[in-house]
Amino acid sequence: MNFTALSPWIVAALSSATVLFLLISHWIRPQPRPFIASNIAFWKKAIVQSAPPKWKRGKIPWLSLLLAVLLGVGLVFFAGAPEGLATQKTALAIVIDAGWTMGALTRGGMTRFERALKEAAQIASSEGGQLLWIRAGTSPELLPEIPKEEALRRLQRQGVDDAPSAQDLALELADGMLSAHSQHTHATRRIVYIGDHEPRISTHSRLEWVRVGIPVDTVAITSFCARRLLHAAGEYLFEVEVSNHSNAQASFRLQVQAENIPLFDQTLTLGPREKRLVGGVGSTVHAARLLASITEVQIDGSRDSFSGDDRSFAVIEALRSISLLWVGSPNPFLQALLETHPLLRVTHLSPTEFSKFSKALNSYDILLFDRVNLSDTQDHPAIITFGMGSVDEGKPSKTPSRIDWVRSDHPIVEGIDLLGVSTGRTLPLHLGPDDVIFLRGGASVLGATRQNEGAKRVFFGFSPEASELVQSPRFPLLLHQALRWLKREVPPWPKPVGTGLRAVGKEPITGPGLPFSFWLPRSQKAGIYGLGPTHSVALDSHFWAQPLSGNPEKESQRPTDKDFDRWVLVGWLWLAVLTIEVMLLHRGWLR
Amino acid sequence: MVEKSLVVKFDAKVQALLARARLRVTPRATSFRQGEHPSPIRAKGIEPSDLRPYVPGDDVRRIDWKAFLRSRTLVVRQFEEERNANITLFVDTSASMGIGTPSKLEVARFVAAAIAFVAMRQHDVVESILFAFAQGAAPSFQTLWHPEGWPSWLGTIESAKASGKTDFEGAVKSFVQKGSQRSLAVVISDLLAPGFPQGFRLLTSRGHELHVIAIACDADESPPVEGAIEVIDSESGERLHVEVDESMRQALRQAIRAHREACRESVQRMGGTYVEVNVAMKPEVIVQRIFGGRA
Repeated sequence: MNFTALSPWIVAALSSATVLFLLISHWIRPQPRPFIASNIAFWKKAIVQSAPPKWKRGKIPWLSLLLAVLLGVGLVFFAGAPEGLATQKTALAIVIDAGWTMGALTRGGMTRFERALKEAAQIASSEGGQLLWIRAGTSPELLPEIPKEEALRRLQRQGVDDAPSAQDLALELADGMLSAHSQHTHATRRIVYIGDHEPRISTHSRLEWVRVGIPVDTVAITSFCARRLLHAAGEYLFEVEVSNHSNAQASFRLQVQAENIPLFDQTLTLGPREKRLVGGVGSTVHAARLLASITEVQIDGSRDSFSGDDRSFAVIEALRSISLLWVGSPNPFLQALLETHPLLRVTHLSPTEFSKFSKALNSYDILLFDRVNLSDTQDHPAIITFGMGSVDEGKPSKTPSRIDWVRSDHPIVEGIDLLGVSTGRTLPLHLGPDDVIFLRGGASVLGATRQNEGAKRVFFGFSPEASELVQSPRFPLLLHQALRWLKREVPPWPKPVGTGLRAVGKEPITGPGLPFSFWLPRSQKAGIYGLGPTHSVALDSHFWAQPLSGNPEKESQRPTDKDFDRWVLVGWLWLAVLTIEVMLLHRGWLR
Repeated sequence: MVEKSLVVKFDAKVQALLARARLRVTPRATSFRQGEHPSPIRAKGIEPSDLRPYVPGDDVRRIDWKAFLRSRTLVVRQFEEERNANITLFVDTSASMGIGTPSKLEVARFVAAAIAFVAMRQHDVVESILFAFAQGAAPSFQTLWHPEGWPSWLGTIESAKASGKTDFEGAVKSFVQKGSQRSLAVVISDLLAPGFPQGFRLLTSRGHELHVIAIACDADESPPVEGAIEVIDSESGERLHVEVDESMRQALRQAIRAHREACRESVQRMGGTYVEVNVAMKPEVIVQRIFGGRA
């Protein structure tokens, strides 16, 4: 594949020079040796008896000259790929779906993926233009500019991924590459998508779908997800969606295991085209890999034709223990509340002890101040305070407050019904314009957060003394979610599997602006478990999602058109001079 | 003097062969002068040839009286008159005779000199005709009447160059128009041109005895070249591009041999003799060939 083109003027000049050169070389070509004969009439008779047909004798030299001219001009055009003629060429991107469904068997006994490779080979053989190869696995992968056979071998070696393909991204990538390329060559852009799912997006390039595989009867796990419960540290919920993709009744055994510990094991029966959602609960503070599997599938009058969708994985991340320094007067409610958290290690100091406390505060994950002065702790990254200043300094209002406004989308109060709950007496808070208020009681601010330069603060404008809120089950949940918000890290996988991934590490993957490669490790090796289009969990934190872009490194290494032109011209002239010199020497015109 | 110059031209072997060689001419082709060839004239010769009945007017001195005593019939004796012969040498000096190593012309000179030498020793008259058509030039006639004229005659033969086109028929016509006596016409040529059979026919029709010596050359029949060549006609200058391979060489050999065979048949049909020599042959072999049937 050659993405470099010469200008039409240069190609025309080269073609003319080639024709001229061939004509001159024909004119001064080495002549046959002279031989003096007694009588040429006998030679003519001999020619008639032994020579090939007359037309061959006369036409062969001219035919060979014509052929040489055509070959020479063709060679120049092939090497030059003139821009002016590029509109008649086609820049083709072959996108091969490598999602998990491509592993299904077709009627011929081969998988859909193998069939797709065959189709791709045929298309590539019949295509004379420029060719891009893109593998649409869990992320799109642009193969380097390699010969067709090498590309097919590489695709065959990689096989299919264990998750749905990133079809949309792959097509977008192909479209973007072709658009960028066509700005230089004006080639006709064409994308051939070979896969078993109809393309879902429209592209600027002409998109053709080569469908491989036909719908088959299968019982599938169409969704499997697991997440920790917000209100119960250590516990998690899992949900499995199973679907019957057939027109007959299907029965099967569904099992869910967490590290070989059975969580669910039932035989289910689904009607034609029926879906069902089943779920359950598990508990662990450690990371756990959950496996959902379907076995013993029986479909009336048919069979389960695709086994790739009979297993699915989900991952529960490990809970981290949190060290908390509680500074304040003893408070039985707060103490009981903190003790219910299984991961919390609490150190309690009275305000007097805290004034003599010499240990670095940064060794604690979270500081909790119950009506204590914050002047020495401003640089700590996570602090919860009840009121501003000491107990003596605090000036609580005389009337108890009742929560009458909740910002429901705030993560600290998400899912907790707090409206109408009394908080006791309110405490004054000194808030800034950028602070986010999530609880109000009349004119009083009862809850707010502050976040700047990595430091997080949670302010509660009520006392953790006996009140309706503190004594209700909502208070532990509120505090736990506050702790969770303080320690929340940006998840390393903000996008689900199927979006473009780029990994950091020793291998060629780094951050923006630094050299990187298109090559991506396969999801199985990377520890990414695809569980459907909207759920995914990665074990390795050095992966995160980012859309793919061009390849600036390779772009910069490409020779410019100007360089290419110069070297082509120099090479051509050198060959022409050598050839003419040899011919002139042969004729004796040079001494 | 003449003999000495001949010793210089021919080596010992050739000399020995030529000393024994004889040119035999049929009686009808003899001349009028006395020589060594039997003639058809029955006259006062030395060699008895036949008896016939006496008729009045016969010389009574020629009556065979012994025969009269045996048969009581008068018979007279007849004698053969021995005369010399005219030898006409048609030597081809066209450009095609310059081909070969040695050239065909050199061999033709040698053959002509050998025949002339033998003829001169037999007191025959040798007339040489160098025929090659050149623009505005007539065939060159040179007659060797007696041994004193040998150096001059030989000089003419030796100075002949291979050039011009072959025109045997024209040379014969010029010869005939000159009103020559009957002779032994010896044609020395490579025969690689049209018009030879017509010339042969014209000569024999005028009573000349025909003797053809064809000079062959391997360069004609099997050219030492391979691959693409440009063939140039030595006489006309015509050019032709040819790819030479074994089949081509074979076809060329067949074409030339067929032509020479046609010439040979033509000569024999007219009562003449045909001898073929090759430029690669040794001189003594050539002498044996050309005098083989006559020496």
